[in-house]
Amino acid sequence: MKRWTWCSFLSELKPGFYLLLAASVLLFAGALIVDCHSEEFRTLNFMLLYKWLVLFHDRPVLYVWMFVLFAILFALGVNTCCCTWLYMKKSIRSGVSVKKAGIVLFHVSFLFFLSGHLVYEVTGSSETLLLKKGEVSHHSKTELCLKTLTLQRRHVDLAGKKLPMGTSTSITVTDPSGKVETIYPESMKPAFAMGYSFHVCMNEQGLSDEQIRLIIRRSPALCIFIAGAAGIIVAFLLFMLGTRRIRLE
Amino acid sequence: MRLLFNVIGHTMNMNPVFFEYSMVVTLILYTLSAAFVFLHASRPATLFVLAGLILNLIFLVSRGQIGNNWYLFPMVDELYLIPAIMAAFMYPAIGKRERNEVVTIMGTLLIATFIAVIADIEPPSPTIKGKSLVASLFFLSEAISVTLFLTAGAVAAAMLPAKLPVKESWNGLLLWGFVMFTLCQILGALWAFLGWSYPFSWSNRHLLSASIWCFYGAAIHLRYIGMNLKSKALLTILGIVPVVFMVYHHQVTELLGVIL
Repeated sequence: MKRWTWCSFLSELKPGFYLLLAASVLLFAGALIVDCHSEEFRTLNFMLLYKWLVLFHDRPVLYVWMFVLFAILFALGVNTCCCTWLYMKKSIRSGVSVKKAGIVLFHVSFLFFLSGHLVYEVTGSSETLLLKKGEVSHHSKTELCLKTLTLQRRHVDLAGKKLPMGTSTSITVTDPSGKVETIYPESMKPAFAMGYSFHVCMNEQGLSDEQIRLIIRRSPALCIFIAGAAGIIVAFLLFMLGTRRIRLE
Repeated sequence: MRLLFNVIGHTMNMNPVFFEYSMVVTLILYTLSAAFVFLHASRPATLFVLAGLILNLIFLVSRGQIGNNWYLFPMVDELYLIPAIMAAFMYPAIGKRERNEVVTIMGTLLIATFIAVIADIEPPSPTIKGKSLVASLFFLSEAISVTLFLTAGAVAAAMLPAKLPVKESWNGLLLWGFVMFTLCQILGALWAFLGWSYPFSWSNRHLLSASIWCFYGAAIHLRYIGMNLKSKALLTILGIVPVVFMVYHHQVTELLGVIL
């Protein structure tokens, strides 16, 4: 009996509304927490969540905040799933429309984003490498071998000052099987090869003209995010099309 | 278009005083418009808001010329873009929307412009992170959504003192604000991935954006919850708090520093 009540509770719109509000409040609180501890949280951008949490075992408040946030987001995901399913069934019975299809697709895309975030926090790898022009570097985690061929820094002259405008480079990447690929990453323009993305780090402080910082990242969640983003854009188009059709009628 | 940009740029370079004080003049024009709204004179109010909008846009465009080049990124500075978008929304609204709505939106416009005036105008400079088109589109979509959220809050505030049952005229603003904000989140994630390698960062900016998205996600479901109109209006007004905190974060912390 109790289980039934719990199930029906999660398949109603009202709990979804309150869960969204609760998530909003917790995220806002999180923004204030991060404001005070920005350095600690910055490391989380390059680490998996469970590895990062081990480092901060003496912070019970942080653990409670993260646990409650993830619990609420999980409940929100379940609620969105149930409500969308019921809405879809109801829509099919009463007649499918472009606008309703847009609404369903939007909620499905939201689920993609939620699951994408979960996958993003618990899988993947990231490492920052310092490369020097002409030298070969071995990436221990991925066993990739990188050789920087060219490196060019861009500047803009403004009132006698040289303002950095990014770096472009060409690098040969060799995987453990011997496959070689040449990539051309630039600042704000990553390159992709062998399942990894290669980003030129924007922080160029302390680097010589021959050096470059490169971030190598592999994240399976990216595909889920791309699917979610595409779904949302299509959902908006359908929603706008549906709204316009209703107005015309 | 290029010629127009060059003319504006050269004028601004020749008149740095005008460049420095153009937002002050914009504020004066908006204030005059607000005064005419109070006096029930729609036509001069519309004209002054249009004049202010043109000056506001000229100021924004002029920010793009740095040295001999044009950059899009400094032109979409939210601090100056939000008053412009709000004025563009205000222009057709005067005389057509309810008077109390126009008054509250006008009040919001004046506050937004005042903050832009008192903020330190730093000469814009080209940056690596701003060279991607995605960055400019991100700030443009965020400014539009923030304006829609603030306007929705202002319209809801106008409805609060009403005793008679009123329609929820802020619903459309909330909905389109949410649509724009969702697109803005996608652009933001793309920008963060291109520049920093991660689509979501554990920073106060990203967490605040997520908080605002969840809040307005809840707000657009209000009509299906069966809440009374006053509570709906109060919740829409409450949404202004995280939005203001996000956009005017530096100004808020500076102000808190002065007060505390």
